[in-house]
Amino acid sequence: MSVLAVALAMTGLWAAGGLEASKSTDFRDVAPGEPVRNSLLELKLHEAAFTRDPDTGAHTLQIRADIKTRFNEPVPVANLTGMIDPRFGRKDLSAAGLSVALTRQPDRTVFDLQPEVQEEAVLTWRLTDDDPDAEPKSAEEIFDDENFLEPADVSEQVAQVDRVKVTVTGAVYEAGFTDQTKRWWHDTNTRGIVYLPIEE
Amino acid sequence: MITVSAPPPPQSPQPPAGHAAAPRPARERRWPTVVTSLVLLALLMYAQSFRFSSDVAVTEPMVASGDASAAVDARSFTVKVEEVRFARAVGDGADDSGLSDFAPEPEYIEAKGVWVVVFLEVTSTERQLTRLEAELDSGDKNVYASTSWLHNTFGSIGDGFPPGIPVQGATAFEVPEKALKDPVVRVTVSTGIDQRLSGEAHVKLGLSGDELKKAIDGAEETLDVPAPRMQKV
Repeated sequence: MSVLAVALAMTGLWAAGGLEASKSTDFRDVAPGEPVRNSLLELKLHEAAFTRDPDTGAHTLQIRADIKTRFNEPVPVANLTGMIDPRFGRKDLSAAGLSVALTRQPDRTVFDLQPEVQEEAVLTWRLTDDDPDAEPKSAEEIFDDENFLEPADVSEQVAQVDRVKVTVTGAVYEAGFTDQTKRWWHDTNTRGIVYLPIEE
Repeated sequence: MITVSAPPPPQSPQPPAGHAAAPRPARERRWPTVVTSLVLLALLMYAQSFRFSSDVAVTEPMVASGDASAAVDARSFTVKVEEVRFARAVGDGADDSGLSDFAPEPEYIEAKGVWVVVFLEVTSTERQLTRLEAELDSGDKNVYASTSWLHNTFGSIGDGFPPGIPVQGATAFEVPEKALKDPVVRVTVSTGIDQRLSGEAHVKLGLSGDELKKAIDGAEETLDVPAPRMQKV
């Protein structure tokens, strides 16, 4: 009898969706300027803006942030790819190619984050009209496009967007890619989601 | 040649009960075999400790350590620390040509902390090397990357280290003053793609305690970093 009761209760739980894998992202919302941490970074995201590269005219997303690594060696900025992930909730606008400059030296790109040095930085992404969830393009797809060197014109999309959802993932120090040398990677956990209004 | 002191021969073993009647000579011949086996086993375990734990370790740079008093030999290159200077701000110095009077004033970059500028003489020993990478182990617990903000420091694309010809130049580190304890500069010189099988030298700068504090306090306001220079031979 009790077995039947438990089975019934479980069925009820299942029907109500209680056995689904937890996504648990709803309560990871972090207000702008509040700290987000993973095992590599301590971040505070302050504000976001769309800008254009003065040289190429390319559209970019810039986020001003306080950033500090918790690792005792320099961390290449390239290792942060995917760890700070801006999305606009659109299929025709995505941010790629993170580059970092410090506000105390705005004209110089930073390639490595120094260990445990607190910096105020501007994080810059190139904006493209690709689907952010699409598979990466093959070389053929890229080079078949005659204007592949031209920056994408996303002025229409940019005009319709007024906020960006930035997901900060977890970080792992693991071997992979070309050889067994260890480097930092993003993982599939969500450490924090920051919604930033975008200033024009 | 490896010499291993043999363990003392074990007490002559008690024959097992079932072989109490075994002939005496056979028992006497057994102990050298036991000793030899034990020695070989010990040698095996010793040799095992030289195995690399992973594929990476096989090709990792071999580290040669030394201090600033003499050139450190990392096999594929040698490196000598000629001078260590501290500065509040650094910039790219103009070269010594007759045109230097017309060169623009260097743009000085102020450090958050202090600039540690290490002047090196690097000589490749076997073949043309093209890429120098330097890090500074502060002696506290952190390792700092050299700056990429100067054109004149080692580490730019145009570096070239022909075999046998000393190249003098500098590498600069922006380091929090508090982190500096007993700094060691780590230098790898490779042919570009990656550091596999290249040499790596760790050179202790020999600055610590009061001496280091005095050097930081006496940091120059501005320092012009010269471009790498090949010694005329």
